[in-house]
Amino acid sequence: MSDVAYSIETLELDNGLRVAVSPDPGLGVVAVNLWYDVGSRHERPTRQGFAHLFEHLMFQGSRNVASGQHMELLHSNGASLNATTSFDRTNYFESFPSGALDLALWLEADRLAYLSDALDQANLDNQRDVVYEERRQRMDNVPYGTSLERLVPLMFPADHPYGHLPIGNMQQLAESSLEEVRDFHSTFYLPSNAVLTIAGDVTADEGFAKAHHYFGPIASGPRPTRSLADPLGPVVDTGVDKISADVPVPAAYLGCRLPKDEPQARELAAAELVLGVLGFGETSRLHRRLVRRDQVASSVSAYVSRMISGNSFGMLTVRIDPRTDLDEVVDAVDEEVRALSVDGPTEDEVQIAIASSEREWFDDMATAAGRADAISQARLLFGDARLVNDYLPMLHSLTADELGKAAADWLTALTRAQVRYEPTGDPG
Amino acid sequence: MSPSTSPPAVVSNVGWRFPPVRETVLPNAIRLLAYDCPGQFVIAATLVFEVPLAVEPRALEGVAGLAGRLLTQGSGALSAERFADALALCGADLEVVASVDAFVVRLEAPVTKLREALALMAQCVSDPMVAAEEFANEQRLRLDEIEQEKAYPNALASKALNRALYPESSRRSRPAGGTAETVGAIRRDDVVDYVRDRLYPSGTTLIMTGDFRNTDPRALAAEAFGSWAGGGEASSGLGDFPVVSWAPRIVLVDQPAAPQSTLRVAGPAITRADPRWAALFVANYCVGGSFGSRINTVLREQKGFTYGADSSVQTTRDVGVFVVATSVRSDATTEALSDIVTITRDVRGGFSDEEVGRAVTAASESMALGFERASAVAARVELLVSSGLPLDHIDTNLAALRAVTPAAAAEAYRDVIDPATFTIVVVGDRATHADALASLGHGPLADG
Repeated sequence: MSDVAYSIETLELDNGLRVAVSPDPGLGVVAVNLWYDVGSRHERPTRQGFAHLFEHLMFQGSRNVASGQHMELLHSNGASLNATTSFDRTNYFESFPSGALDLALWLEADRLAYLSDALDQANLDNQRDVVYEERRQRMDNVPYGTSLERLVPLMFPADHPYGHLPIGNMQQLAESSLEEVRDFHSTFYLPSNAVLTIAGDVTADEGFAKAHHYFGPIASGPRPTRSLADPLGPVVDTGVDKISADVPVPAAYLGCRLPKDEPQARELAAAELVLGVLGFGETSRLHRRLVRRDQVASSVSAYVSRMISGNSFGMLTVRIDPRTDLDEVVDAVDEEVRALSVDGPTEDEVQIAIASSEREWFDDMATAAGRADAISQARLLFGDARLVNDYLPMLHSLTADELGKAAADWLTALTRAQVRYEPTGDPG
Repeated sequence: MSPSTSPPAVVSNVGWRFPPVRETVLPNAIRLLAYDCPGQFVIAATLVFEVPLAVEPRALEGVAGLAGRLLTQGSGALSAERFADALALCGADLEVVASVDAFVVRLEAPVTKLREALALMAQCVSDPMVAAEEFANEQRLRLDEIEQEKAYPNALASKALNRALYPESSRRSRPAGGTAETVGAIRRDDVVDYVRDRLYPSGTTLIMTGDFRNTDPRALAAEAFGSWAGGGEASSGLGDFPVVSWAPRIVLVDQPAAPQSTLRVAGPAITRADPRWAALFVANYCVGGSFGSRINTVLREQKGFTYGADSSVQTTRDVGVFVVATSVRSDATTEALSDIVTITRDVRGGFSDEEVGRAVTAASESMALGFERASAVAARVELLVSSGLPLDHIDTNLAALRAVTPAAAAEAYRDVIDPATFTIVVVGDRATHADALASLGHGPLADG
């Protein structure tokens, strides 16, 4: 199946909006997906979290759309929709039965062009409250919920674009004003700073004609200049953040810088795969050693955040038995990383890592929404929508040597950024 | 021509239907249900054993879940590690779930490796090792999970709600995966007995969904499962039919200094087999089943108490329950609960034509989208099989949804949902909330 290729056509409107269409006639559903080149990395140091708060306000109405109507019109026509804000970008997306394509494009165009007409203080105050509760629900009222927020500053300097999380700083959000929302919209929400992808039951001609009709009249300014941080090598000095918290068992969250995505996508993929060999799933070395053989841990997991401004990062999590010493577990991680960086993974381990990534890719691409998102990403972040079709061949050509080298180059620093949780109260 | 200042018209998608089934019976009496989902290269294959959780001995609750974990820890000639390697080399994933109505084994695998992956699936259900050391490790891990769940407010809320809603005689009143006491009491032989007595091919359903343009699901299923023989005493009919609590009360689970209160507001409802199901589904959509619902509009969009609030009708084969779920800022706890009770009560007065019209279109037009993935098609068929519903239920329900009127939605809601008798669960700071909850006027307050 590594020869699967998705049909993708692209053009750029006069106002700079980059449009991609991935036609799949007869599918019955269509996905519309917009990526704006603005994320938490673009925020001012005193307004951490602003890109995400702004994303919420995009659902509160625009010149021709009443507050709440965006969601209501799309939902009531059978659509699924949402938006997310990450370090690098903000995306807005909806999938729906094909008859609602005009509606979706009209709604997206209206809030891109005319959001400011509908902004008011009541909406800002309300959505700020909602964001506070989002943070409490996802981070403050969940065991280990702030682990990534604590780990990121150990991997990146405070003034680095990735030095804080998209959810941001609630105190700073409390100080933000409606005027700043307007400025943010006029600075970053420009046709020239966005990519629009339409995937599913539409022909390329129809898709382009509709994109032109709804988005063509929107005035734009020059595309904001993209500034990227210089790549950083692995973290040098070990930083350990120890927390005593209301958590069920001790845990270690370990982080490391990784290569950035394109044009280092191959090196990043090798690092991602070898991190998987180390700590993803039942076949991983750490699961076998810590969960099965030594029985000192209840779970091991690994995660990679692929990014573009200098570096990506990887994270490894181990939850351990309360009677076990966290030092021993961290030493075991070190040992396994060293073994991988010296001898590399076995051929079976490489094939397992590739098979797992391939299935994840097919899962992502199994819906029109997933395909549209992948295309928007490739177009916005890397400048070429067709890169989505290069991923599987690249994956299948990765070698054990490349994985071993990625382990040596990057994972050996994994235990230098540590967040350690110990439960408060009686250990049992 | 410039775009208009009012929303463009939408063309309805009335032609959508659930994919047709190809139903056959394998020689060993496994019923195969195959569904073609073009373009879906990750195949879903799901085995549904109609064994309810209620068959577990009271003192050994959790044995079904533990049996499920052990299936993937060694079978045939493959040790646990070799089995995991073989499955991973296929890019496949195998998940076993013991739920209220059924014991279910779910495989997902790329179509190119389906043959190998199905063989592994067949091996793990027909010939599991249940090795002593694997049993011991899985028991340890399950006990760890039970301990860890206590730190998660949503898990605490669900557990307290089940304990309050169902009578002690019902299996549903206790955790599906057992308690520390019952899981600790399970011996390896109990798992072996469960597997032998409950998991056999005769009468079992295999659901396969995905892109079968170049693959014959029946031939692959027959090859993988053909040599597995056996039958036994039917387990269906052993489910419990509890009377869901009708007595208003509030259960408070203490989570000291919690920044939010995790809330559940629940009462009895109906199952999908009930003729009022479509009408109640539409009513629920308006009350709390959508972003623009009355509950979410008030609690999130007007008051900013929460990141989100919703309601749902949760169904199993024999019982349905209406549940409102949300997490709210701690100091908004009692006001949010009052709002929920008020909204769910006032809605008994009826719905507007517009509100119901939107709900009907939303529910019917979203079908195509909801079943884009092969795994989503398989999950819905699994629900039908484990709930004892006919396979044409999705299409007949779709027709019924389209016919729901505002009067029918209001009538179904009034018939079924009685907010005066709701059970309320709060997971939050007891010292802060106990007095206010006790004087809320919604029945007695108890510690959970």
